[in-house]
Amino acid sequence: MSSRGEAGPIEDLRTKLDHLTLSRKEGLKRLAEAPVRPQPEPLSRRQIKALGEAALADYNRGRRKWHANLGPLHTPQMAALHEDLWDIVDSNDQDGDKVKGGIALDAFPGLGKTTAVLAFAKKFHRREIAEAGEYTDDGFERWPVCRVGLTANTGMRDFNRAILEFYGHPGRFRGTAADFGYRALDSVLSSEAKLLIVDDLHFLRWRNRSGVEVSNHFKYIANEFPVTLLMIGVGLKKRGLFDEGEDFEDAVVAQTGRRTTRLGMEPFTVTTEQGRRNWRDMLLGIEQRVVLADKRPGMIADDLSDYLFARSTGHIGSLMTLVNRGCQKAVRTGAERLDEELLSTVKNDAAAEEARRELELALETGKMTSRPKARRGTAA
Amino acid sequence: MALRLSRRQGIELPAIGTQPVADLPSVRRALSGAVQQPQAEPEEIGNVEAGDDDVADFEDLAKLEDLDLIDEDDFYATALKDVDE
Repeated sequence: MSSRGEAGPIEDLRTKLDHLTLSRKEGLKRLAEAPVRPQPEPLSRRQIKALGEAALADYNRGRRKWHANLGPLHTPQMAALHEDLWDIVDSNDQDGDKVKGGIALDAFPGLGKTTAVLAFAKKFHRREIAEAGEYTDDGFERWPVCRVGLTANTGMRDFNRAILEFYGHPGRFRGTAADFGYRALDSVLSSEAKLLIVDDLHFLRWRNRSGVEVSNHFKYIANEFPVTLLMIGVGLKKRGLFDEGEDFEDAVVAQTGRRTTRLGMEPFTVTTEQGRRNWRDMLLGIEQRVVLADKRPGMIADDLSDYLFARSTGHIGSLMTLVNRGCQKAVRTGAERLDEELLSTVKNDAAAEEARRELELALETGKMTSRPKARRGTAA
Repeated sequence: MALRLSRRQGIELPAIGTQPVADLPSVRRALSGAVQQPQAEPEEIGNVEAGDDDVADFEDLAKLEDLDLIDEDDFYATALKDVDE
């Protein structure tokens, strides 16, 4: 396939990030090594009006991209998670004869689990490459992180094949589950991978044959692969990942649980002063990054604090979706600001919309507030 | 037509070769290396139209900032940073 011309190196690396898959090593590398995206220059309405047609289209395209990729912000939840991940991953840097403890990140949807883990994977990739170089002593490319996403019917063979797919292994098309397993081990050893991320683990059916099979396989990986296994999923505890159990199948699953540290992520809450301060700092971070002509200090962090909490229920995924869509609309329609009127025309995810009503009532009647004491009465 | 008129009016054309080559300013400069021609004075133009991003825009921004009386650095002092920073 031919490409059309060459874009500038930094812009090219960034703009093409919207067309990659993290199921392949090149995608993960591009994500990890991409430079920081430059924020578009804030222009006044007069300056925007003075732009020619082509310059305006270019400016708005830059803002579309920017608003669609705000963050990720270093939230207290993400900071705490990264601390735990560094502790566990670095403590696993032991000799190959010792079994490495695994990690299960178990939390509800919309809390930024995958975003937080990918942010950690980027840092880990950069650190390992900076410390040990791009190539191993044997001359292979170094890939410190391997990532696999599960699907609804993933069995052991599919799981091994997904690892081979990540590495682009030529032997990924034919073979038995065991063949794929050995090739996967070979790839992990050759590339000196240290972190194996398994996303969407909740897709796995623990209690049926393939679930037990893959769970058993995780034990095999923990024993044979010199990697830290980092599993991400929803309701993993409820699904029995950490159960001791009594029958044989429970015991098999329990072995995974015994070697796994469970980590979680919580939504923002506004029931304490500290929680309200964290929420405001989060909104300030977003507001600082929004590039709209009529933006002013407090537009989001003060005026929209309660409204955004009600609509997102403190879930960062829902909040970022709403702000992103709101900014796109503000640019497209020329509103050039965010307010309740504009945001009320923006649809959010179904779960947030469902939970919104109850919170709105509490906030409107004054039973609850999302604003810290020092900021009450400052909203419009 | 123009040619015919010029013949009829008997316009005198300047004689060719009356000015020696050495009298040409460029040749004089090249030969002497030190002949300075007087510099032309800059022409003064009144009522220059302002550009689109000139002073007025910065005045607009300054006015807004004055109105709000908010130091943005202070206002965003506790804002969360990007995870990559």
